Amino acid sequence: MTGTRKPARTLDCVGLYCPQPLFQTRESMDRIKGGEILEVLADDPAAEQDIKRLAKRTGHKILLFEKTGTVLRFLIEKIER
Amino acid sequence: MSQDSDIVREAIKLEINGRAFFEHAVSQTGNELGKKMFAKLANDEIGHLKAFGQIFSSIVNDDEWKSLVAQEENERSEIIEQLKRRMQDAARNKRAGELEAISIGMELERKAIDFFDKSADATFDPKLKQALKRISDEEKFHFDLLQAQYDNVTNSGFWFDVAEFRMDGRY
Repeated sequence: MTGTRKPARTLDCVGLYCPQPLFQTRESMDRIKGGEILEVLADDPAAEQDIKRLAKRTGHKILLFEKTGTVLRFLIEKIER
Repeated sequence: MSQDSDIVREAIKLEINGRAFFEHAVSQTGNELGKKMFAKLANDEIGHLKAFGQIFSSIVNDDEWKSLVAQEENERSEIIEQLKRRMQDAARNKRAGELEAISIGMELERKAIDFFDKSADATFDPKLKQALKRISDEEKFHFDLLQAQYDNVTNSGFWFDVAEFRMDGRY
């Protein structure tokens, strides 16, 4: 399912440290429409926990989370409320 | 035992530095709701220090505990001076300085969360493990509160009341 849906926006936070990936993810979520997907790339290990909690708190859906080497990749669907 | 003593020392340092920074942020924030939030965070860190004191008195003796706290209280000024400089550098205007204070607060909380989570995994003392996990959860709440406040101040220019913060994404 997620493989067929392309992200509306990609946010590259590689090289950025907490709390920057979180701030930028939040800001990017505001720039896409409900139902669209944001792709986030980060390599700060803290981003895994922080972005997952952000999605839970704000009601958006993490469709995919994967690690390739040190890079974390999230696909987050914006849930309009 | 030695490892647990090291955990004690670092935990004291994190809580004292956190409290000192949030107290400084109270004095630097013009908005009453902002002051209230930073004051709550400072107060919570005092609560954590007391909680650690109760648990750690069984690991290190009372005199050693008091001595550790006094030592860290004396050394806290260095990190606070560094953080003050960052706030001043960021403060092109009052709001930028306040946002930087929130951001620094999040960095401090993140360090505390990482340390408490790793230490909870490392210790074999069940009481200490339980306390570290509980305090880590509280620090995660602080982190989320600060993130939501940053978001709100950035987007609307207004601070929300910490009493209204809920984990449902309203703030």
